[in-house]
Amino acid sequence: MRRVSRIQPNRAPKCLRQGHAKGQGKENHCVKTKFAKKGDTLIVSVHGRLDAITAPDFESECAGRINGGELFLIADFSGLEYISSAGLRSILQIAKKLRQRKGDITFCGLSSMVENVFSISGFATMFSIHESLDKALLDRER
Amino acid sequence: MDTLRLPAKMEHLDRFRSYVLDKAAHWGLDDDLLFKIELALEELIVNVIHYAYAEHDHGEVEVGCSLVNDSILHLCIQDWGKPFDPLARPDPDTTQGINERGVGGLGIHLVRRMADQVTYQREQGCNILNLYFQIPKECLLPIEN
Repeated sequence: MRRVSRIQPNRAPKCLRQGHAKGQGKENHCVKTKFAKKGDTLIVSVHGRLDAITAPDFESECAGRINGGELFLIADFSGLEYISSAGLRSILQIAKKLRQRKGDITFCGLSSMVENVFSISGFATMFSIHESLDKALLDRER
Repeated sequence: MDTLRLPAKMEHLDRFRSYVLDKAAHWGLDDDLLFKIELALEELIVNVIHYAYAEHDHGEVEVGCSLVNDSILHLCIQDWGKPFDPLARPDPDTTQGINERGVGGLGIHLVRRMADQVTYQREQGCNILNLYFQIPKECLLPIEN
């Protein structure tokens, strides 16, 4: 069987699709973390990837906020394209830090593959996971 | 199989990633399968970077990627570091709570679940991991006349 050898742009991985040149190290491994406060809850919106290269930055940004007194985090993963065990490790460290201070972290907006990784790792039963940010916020208010 | 061989350094992770993903995208594999392949690749390369060689031992890692019978993606990862069979490790206990849970050990567990088959061999001072990913028929690019 012969197959046509061409790249379908809509099938390339998202990071390549967005025009990131290959082989440029850290720029290609992009993660952006935005913080927004709603009541006593800190919404952490993650865009991009949580891998061995980016996860430490994500973890230290969150740790900074927790050290600054934040106790209740909602991680909005609707912009998260990829996660590896390094990302899970950072999440667990953040959760442990919050738990020590009687805080909590919940999650929302997981893509099917990110949810799959959460399930395989046991994170889906360890944490509260909501379909949307609205639902996660509603749960916080209860 | 053509391969990419580079020093086992974190700064090269992206080169390996592009090498495999460019090929996989070229073969028309869908996003979910690319995610699985990328995840397995990252976990194993990072493992070699962290554990295979002593700190000042400039060891290398080699990645090969090919399509078998138009239905299986074959990924081969080799290093020349200390013998390490990741398949011999027990799976972590994924039922523990946040406080009890250790922060390591998930990587290999994920690799086993992402790939359809994983084999390990130690040959002439080399750790050889072969991973096989079944490609669903609908993932393949159609033949154009």
